[in-house]
Amino acid sequence: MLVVDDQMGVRRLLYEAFKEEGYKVELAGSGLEALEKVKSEMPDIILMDMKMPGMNGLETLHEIKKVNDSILVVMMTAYGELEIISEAMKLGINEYITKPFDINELRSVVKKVLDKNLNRLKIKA
Amino acid sequence: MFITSLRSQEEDIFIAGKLAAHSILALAVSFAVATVLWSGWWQAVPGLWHTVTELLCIIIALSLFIIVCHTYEINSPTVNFLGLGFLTAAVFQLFHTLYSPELGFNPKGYLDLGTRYWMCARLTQAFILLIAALKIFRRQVNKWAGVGSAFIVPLLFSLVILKYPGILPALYIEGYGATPAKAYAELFVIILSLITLFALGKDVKNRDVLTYKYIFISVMIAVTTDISLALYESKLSFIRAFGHVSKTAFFLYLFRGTVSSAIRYPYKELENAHTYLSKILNGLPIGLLTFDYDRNLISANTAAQKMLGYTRDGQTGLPEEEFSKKAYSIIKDLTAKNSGNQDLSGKIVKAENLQGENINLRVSVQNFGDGNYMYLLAEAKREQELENLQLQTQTVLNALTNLVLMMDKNRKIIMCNKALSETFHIPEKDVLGMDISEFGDMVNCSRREILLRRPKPNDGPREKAFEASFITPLGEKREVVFHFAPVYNIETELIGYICIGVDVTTMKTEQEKLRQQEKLAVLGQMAAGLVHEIKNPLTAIRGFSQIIKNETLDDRIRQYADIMETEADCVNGVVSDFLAFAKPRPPALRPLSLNRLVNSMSLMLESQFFIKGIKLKIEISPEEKPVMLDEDQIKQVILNMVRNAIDASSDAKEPQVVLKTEYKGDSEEMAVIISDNGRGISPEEMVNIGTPFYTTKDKGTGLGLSICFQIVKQHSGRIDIDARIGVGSTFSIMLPYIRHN
Repeated sequence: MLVVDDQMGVRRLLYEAFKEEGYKVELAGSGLEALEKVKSEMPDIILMDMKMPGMNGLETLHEIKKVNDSILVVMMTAYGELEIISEAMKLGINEYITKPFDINELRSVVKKVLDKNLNRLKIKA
Repeated sequence: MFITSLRSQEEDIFIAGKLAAHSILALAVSFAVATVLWSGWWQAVPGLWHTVTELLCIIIALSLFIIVCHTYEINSPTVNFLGLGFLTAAVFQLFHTLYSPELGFNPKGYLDLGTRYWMCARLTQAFILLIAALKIFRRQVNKWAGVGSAFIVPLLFSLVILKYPGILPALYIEGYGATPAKAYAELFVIILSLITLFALGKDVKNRDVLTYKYIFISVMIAVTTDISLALYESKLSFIRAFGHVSKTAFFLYLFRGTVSSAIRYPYKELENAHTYLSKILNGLPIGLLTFDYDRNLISANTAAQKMLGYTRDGQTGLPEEEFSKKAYSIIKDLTAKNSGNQDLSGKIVKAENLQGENINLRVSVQNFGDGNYMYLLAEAKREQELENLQLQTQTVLNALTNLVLMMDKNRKIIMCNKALSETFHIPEKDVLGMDISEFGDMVNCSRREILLRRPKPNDGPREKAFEASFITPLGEKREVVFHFAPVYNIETELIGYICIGVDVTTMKTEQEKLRQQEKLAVLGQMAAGLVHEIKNPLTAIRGFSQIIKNETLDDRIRQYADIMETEADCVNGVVSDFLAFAKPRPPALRPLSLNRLVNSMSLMLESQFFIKGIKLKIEISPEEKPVMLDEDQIKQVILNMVRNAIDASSDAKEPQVVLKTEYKGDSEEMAVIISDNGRGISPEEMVNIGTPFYTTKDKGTGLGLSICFQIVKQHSGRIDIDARIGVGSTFSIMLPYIRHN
């Protein structure tokens, strides 16, 4: 799993929350860093913030999909703005969650996404 | 005299020579007649020819008198004098005839009595003609007085002579012949006649009086007659016969002269006057139509014919009847209305002329008093054009959204357009004639001094603009930008002022609104950024407190973490509401059923109410129409209102909230009504309700209702509030339904 967020607190929170669950969690503080991690670590699922300095969420998503379009993506947004979400949906995100979220809720969202795509992941593996 | 000047040259032939020739011709004819008669049976019957010629003369003289008598009023005094004078002469003549020696009525010893009467007649004639020729008699004498004296005086005189023949000198003595007295008398008469001729000689050249031509001839004949009668030696001489025939000719010419003077001359004058008047009437630019009592056309002058499109010389020679009909059609309406003797002068009649062109005529009526009417027609094209122009101007001014006010140079309002009277809610008729300062007071103009400003020369209408606020009589405030300028005529004289105004009241409010919107948009952008920056750390705070809560074994720490989590949620709520208010998203409208929407919420609501221990009553309207709405947003509004209702009624004894839908056919609306039996809303609170950040709750953001108002407004709806302290509040969300399915 790759967590992409410019906010250190959020990155650390998600690291703690998902490490506990047994995920291998990689962290990235920017879009560029995320791209490198995607290339080097080949994560199954990415939790990514929508708004980041430099390359923003949508742009990063675009680039990631170019590298590997089978990666599962859950978007995190503080806006809850429909048009951005629908655009992200078009770019192929699997799910979205609005900040601030309940950790348990996020866990279940991630689990749901992974379960849904389990077959595909297995094939890939 | 203008009428005379129109007479043709043809009539101007009265020169003495021609007249003398005429006289000689007449004398020649007389001579021929006398010769024929003399050679015939006249000689055989002595005295008969004398009686016949004399009677002929008397008849002519009497006819002359009768004609003059009947045309007395229109004759000149001279002509009347002639007529009366010849009555006198006729009386003497009659006595002369009666007492001529042939008839044998003479008293003894006075065989020349007839001659004496004759001399009286001759003297009378000569004097009368002289007086007439000299035109001494200029005053009109009363007809009957004249007739009476002209008849009675000679009659009495003749009778006196009959009684005392001796008072007149003997003129003829049997056996001796003519006396010197006769010769002197004859000479005197001839001299009188010559003076008369001389006097007439000047007049015959005067074209003014026709009569003198014939009188001149007659006097010339008279002179010859006198000479011949003075010369005869015997009662039976030819010269005497000739004298009497020429005397008849003298009377005939005199008669002719009088007739032409009394009858032909006035007639001629009349004809001339008529021709002259016709020329004037035909030359007038005003059309004249005269109609008789039965509305038959009597006359139409050239202008009238032209106006009605009737051209006699043109190719379109229309029958008279058609012209008559057309003329009648034009005055027909006026005739009908004219029964009441109203003044119809200057009424404009629109018609079509005989050529099919549209004409506008200004028609005036004049009653001749004898049942005949005259209609005066004037082309009203210019008036019509002016009227049209005025109408156009008024239409244009009224179509303008600008306010236009015109004043005369004394600053009295002479014109205002519709926009002005509507803006200030003052009827146009009230404004007209008003003084500008009075108007300024009426509308509470904030800058009255400008209206009274003395303009600088060459101020154009756009040069001086000022903004002023007004308060209309209805109490509305108006902001108007005015251009105030003087108006000059082409001689650059000041004739008035014009005020052109633009009502900027709405523009100003719109501007204010726009500025507000811009502010809000900036605020929205800032809010969005701020909210994001808050939410990110909030995510971490909330997440970590959750982790702490799960991992700690210490109850107190778990409690603290729990509080942190709740407070974080609280912060999130505030910033979320704030974002929704500051940066509202436009509703995604879809036609939906309000009933279904409320039903879908009922389950969730009921559980909430159950927990709180408040009674909830849901009533669904049996009738409904779909409404264009954004499901999420309207749900948010209803939830917000229900939450408010719960909060408001929680202190009540038996708290109850009613949620119902209603169909309002009258206003074409569907309503969602939420009412509670809580504390109600105070008037002070009512004023501030919906103001952002205004709240009466301990834990409220003051944004909930603001957002509700905003959302409903975006749905073209409204929220009605009905609340009474201690009784409860009712919030009605009114949304317009779709009229056509």
